[in-house]
Amino acid sequence: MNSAAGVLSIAHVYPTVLGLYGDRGNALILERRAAARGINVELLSCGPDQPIPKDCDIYVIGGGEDAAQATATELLRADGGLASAVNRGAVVLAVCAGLQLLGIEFGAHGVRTAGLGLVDVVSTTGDVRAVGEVLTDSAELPLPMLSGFENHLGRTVLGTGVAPFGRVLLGTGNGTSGASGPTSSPADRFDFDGFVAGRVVGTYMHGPVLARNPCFADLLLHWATGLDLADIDDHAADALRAERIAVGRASMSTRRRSSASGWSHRRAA
Amino acid sequence: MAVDPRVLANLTVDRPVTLVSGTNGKTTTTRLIAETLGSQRSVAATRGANMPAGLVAAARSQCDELVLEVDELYVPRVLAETRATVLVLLNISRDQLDRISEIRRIAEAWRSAIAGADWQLTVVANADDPLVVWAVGGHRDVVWIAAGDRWRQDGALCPQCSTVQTGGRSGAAWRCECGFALPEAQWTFSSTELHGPGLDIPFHPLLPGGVNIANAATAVAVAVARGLNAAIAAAAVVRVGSVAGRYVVTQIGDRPARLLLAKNPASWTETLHMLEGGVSPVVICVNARGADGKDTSWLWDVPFEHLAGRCVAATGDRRWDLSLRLETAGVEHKVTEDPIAAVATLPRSSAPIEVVATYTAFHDLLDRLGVSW
Repeated sequence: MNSAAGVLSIAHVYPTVLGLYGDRGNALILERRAAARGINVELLSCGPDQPIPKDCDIYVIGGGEDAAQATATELLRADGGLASAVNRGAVVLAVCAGLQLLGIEFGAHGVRTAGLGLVDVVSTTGDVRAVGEVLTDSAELPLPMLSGFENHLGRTVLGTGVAPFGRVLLGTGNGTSGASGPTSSPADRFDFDGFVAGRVVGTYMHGPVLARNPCFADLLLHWATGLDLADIDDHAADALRAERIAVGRASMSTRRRSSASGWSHRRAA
Repeated sequence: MAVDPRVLANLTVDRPVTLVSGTNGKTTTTRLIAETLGSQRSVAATRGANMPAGLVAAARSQCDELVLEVDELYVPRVLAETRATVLVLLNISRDQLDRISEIRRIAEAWRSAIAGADWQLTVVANADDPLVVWAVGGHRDVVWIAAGDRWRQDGALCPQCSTVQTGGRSGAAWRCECGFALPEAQWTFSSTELHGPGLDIPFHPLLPGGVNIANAATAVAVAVARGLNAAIAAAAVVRVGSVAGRYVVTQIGDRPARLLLAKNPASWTETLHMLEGGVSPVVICVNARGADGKDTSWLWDVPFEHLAGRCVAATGDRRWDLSLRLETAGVEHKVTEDPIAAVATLPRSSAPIEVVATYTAFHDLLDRLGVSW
């Protein structure tokens, strides 16, 4: 922890501007899980009329509509606090519009907007809105299968040296594919979700993602505190996670069946 | 269901039509308007339906006048087809985002629909909601109501120039540097009085909650716009005690229970305000089927912290989303799949148990409890 007072500080960036899809839950989950381990924790709700503190341990950025995303990006660029924090190595969780604005550039309706340039990713918009349950396998981090809910038009391409956060099993994620390994065949290609760049993690998963995946919340807390975190009562989170993964898997097998029957139908025709 | 657009157009020729839209309060306000206009003439109204097929069904009646609730996304089409006399716009906030995606698009669609109205159209609108005010645009014939807006998270940016508004939303004092401002309202109200043009009357609607005083005031303003006497209209709206099952007090087993519908952060914010100060147990039922919206993330926008200390049960298809949300908010609760079964597990209370449900859960409850709607 940075603070000499031994307080873990979590900054929730512009909740009124970037908070359309319940991503405030990510900040609340981090706060609660830290407190449950006896960590002194402070959750700062950073409004767009205030400077972003440079010295927090974790920054949480959520999703928002196009106009809100562009406005937030300009404010964050002028403020500079988030950039200093990222350059210092702070832990950042950025979801959806938050993911995009950390990158080089993002676009909506043909208008290209410069991002904060903190991570080498470029986002555009696709033709079809991605809405629904998401399941990913962790591509880079020691995490189990992750569950989320996406709602976006974004398509994100990762620069060299930026790792994907997840391999998409269900849903769209970044909407751009990559090989799962250096010697992979076409069958091994996955769409990716999000990115991992040092301790900055981006994802298209709402849900909120940390509510559905407490292990991911604990990994962020471990990065920020260096502590090995004891188990806590997770019966509600575990039940939610198991339910959403089961629903996602059922949806995957339905899709496999329907695509298989579609194929045989075409063959028969 | 596909409905031939000419059907609604043909059914509404030469009949005054009032359309009611907004994220929250559509069904209640439609009923209240029908109650006021119906005190003077024959009126047909929708009763919770708000898609084209339901509108056509209501419009087939032979009544003198129609009051139709309209889904937010269908306002442009229905406005053009009916060439409505009055358009009532209540509010815009986040709801069913898996279907609607971006709430600003609703405001944009309303704005171009109103700008394209080439007939005599009176808009009755909430002066306290910046997105509604922006949607009304430069329309001339507008009756503004200071209907309030306790949920403010969707008004952080100026709808005209997208700059951040930090002063919050406080009626006519809200003004952006770009020139966009909230209008002065002709209709205002307190918890006991209604004030309109040349009118100050005591006003005590039976429906609970501040939001329903706003809905009732809106209904009176519509009635006056339709040529009715305000006092007669007010007397008609205050008598309504429940609407389409909402606010009904019924029996669940041997316990009295009040049924409430809350389906998004704004309606939950109003509901929690309504529940404040009460001591009876609260059963919450959350589904995420089609009409509820399939994304439950919105639960994290609801200030459930206000329920701390109450006896709460988390129920419904998505009870585990709710349970984790309540746990994080420090609200002790039980988890039971079935809301009716949950009632029996709660302690007895002198006041009715509050049962708050999302859209599909609410209608399941009405059917199972035999409450007509």
